[in-house]
Amino acid sequence: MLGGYAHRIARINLSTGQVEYFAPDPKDLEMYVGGRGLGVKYVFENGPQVDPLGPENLLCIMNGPLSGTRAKMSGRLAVVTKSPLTGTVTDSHMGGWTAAKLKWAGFDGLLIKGAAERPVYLLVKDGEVSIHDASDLWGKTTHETCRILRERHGKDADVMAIGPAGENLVRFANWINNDERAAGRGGTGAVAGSKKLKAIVVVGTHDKMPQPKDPELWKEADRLASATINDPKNVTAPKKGGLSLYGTNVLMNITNVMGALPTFNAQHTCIEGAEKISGEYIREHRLIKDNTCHACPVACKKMVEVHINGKTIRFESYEYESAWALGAHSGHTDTDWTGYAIYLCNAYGMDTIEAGNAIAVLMEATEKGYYQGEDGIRFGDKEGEIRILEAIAYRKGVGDMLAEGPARFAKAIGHPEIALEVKGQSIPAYDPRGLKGMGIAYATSNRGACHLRAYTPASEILGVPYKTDPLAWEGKGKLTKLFQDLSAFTDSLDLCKFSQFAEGPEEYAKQLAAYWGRPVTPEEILRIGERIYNLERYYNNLAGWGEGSDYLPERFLKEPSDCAGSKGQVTELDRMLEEYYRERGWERGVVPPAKLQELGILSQAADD
Amino acid sequence: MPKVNLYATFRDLTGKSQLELPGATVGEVLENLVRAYPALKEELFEGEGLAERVSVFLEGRDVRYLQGLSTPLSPGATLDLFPPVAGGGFERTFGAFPPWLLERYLEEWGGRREGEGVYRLPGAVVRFREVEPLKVGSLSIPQLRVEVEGEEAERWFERIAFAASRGGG
Repeated sequence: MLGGYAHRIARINLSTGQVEYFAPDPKDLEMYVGGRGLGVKYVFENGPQVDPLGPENLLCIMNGPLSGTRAKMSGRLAVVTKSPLTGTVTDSHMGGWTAAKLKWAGFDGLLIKGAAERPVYLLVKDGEVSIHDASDLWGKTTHETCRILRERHGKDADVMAIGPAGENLVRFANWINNDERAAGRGGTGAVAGSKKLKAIVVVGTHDKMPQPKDPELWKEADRLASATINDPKNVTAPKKGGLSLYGTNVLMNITNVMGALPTFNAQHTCIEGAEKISGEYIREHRLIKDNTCHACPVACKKMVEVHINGKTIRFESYEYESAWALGAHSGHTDTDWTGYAIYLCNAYGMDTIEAGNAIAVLMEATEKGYYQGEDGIRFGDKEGEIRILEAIAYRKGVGDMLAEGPARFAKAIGHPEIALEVKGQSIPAYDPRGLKGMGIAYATSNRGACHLRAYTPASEILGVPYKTDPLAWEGKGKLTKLFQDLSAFTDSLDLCKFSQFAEGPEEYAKQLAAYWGRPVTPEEILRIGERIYNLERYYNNLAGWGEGSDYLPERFLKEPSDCAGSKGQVTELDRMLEEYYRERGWERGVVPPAKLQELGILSQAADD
Repeated sequence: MPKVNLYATFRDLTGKSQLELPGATVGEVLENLVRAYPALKEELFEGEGLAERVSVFLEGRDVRYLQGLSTPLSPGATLDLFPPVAGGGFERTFGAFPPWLLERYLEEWGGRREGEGVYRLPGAVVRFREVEPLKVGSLSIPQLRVEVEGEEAERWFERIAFAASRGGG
């Protein structure tokens, strides 16, 4: 039996109230590991044609074989489902302690189907799942819900909750846990809302931590992983490295000077005053505390304090993507108003990236006269932005249209070109005219535009694993495939993306081998990542995303960048796609049967 | 008197792997080396300066990041001289890949240490050295220059590049 697992998954039907338990098939564990990979497998088996907001959709809450262990940066929890925003399979990950506690509570995952008649929450404890009434919690913010449920179930309880946005089926609603970590993208909170599932409470203590099957190998693997992360010269070095000191938002000043920061809905590629919403500025002027997640020495999370109209608001965290979306992308760099907008998105339970894009699209539509309602707002209108965020969460006025996602809104007003989306999901904070690799990464991401499937800025900005020219397209298809496969694997362990700034296939393979109790080669883990990526693509192909689905917004292809660092550049998508498909062995975005057989996907699907 | 360790083609050109040469600075020692072995002049110098592709290490540190040719030497100092990788070699600068980790891999793969930053593998020689970190905004990312040569250079280079695979997010 492979180590690292609880070997127990709960299948919960909210329509009937029935809860069943099963041990995951060892073959599935070897092929898909856990977390994202195993979740994708279950979502695939549930069928690609389901309505994402219907009771038949499957919502998977997954951890991985290293969750709840002492493996560094192993605090990630995967939420996997069919996205109501994109219609693709999606996965989104949150930090904190929820993943670890789910393992300590005796589970590798929760598979949730059906829909309750009244609001409910799940209590996961001692290997059992029970369903409880949540009528008193419905309507409350994520912060209030987490606080009330922790008071009710004690300090060993970890809570993940949806907010009003999830209840109101905002297509980019998310999950927030009591450490204010978000499973942010793809609308997984709306799927919970459609099932009347308000929260999940997980009770577990670390005395239930799984032990490695090969303790001697584990000692060596853990020592190596720790040494790479803690290497004082590295960006991950605790209290020394840039990622530890400033968190993700260390990038704001960098992308701004590179002309790679989309601003004013990507009508520009830099903004005056980006410093005011940067990690460096926040550390100096707004930081309260460096918080961390389970088993993480890096502590990139930042507890901050902002001041609005005489009120002081504390929250976590002033992330790069959030600060960009709700600041620069929306045409301002106000430290406090941007922070307040982030706090509100967390409270309502909605993705800051998608929300910021919704605001920016509305602003462009208003300024160009495409939207003429009296609740339209213009770039830089910070107070208007706050009003619209509330309107989205509660589906009021134009907020009701925006709650369908910026892509659907832009299409509804007759100007789809102003939505910066791929497969219905909006772009994050990197402009592919200044970072060409992000262009191919966005276009080919299986969950819609995303920086976390293949983080090409690692190479284009940080020189990891080797430096490439951010303005060159050559080689970016190959790089994207490598990053996609590596991340599909680490998302299945489930480790933080930051681990990849220090660890590579050798370190991951050793750690998994020590827990599994059988040899694992670095080549095998890349193969697993490739298999997961292809299964996701196969699902999407069956769900209707076929040839021509790997596109970019025209703005990036036709409107040259106007800022120093990338001035005059557009994205050469076709050339990168050609290189990428060649590397993947795909036919214009479609996985051929031979590739599915080569990776063991098709034969296994047939066996099942 | 300072010691000078020579590697790869420098050994072919001199017939020696180690020499003792007088000099109070790196520049003086190298001038004395060239005086004794004139064939090295084109390899070591470009005009008055150190040739770009040559690596000169003092106690494991590239002298370019000390005081270059003016770097003072104690009588007991040891210099390591590496020639540039010849045509057909494989080289890359890797980010966030510490030298101690590469050494560990090389040992795991059966490599034999031949000196500071030099390992011999079956059919290949691997040389590596830390170079200036990549500094971007408030980030500093360590950089490791790796060069592989020999009949099996491509195979070993690919193995190193695979092990050095990193990403981020």
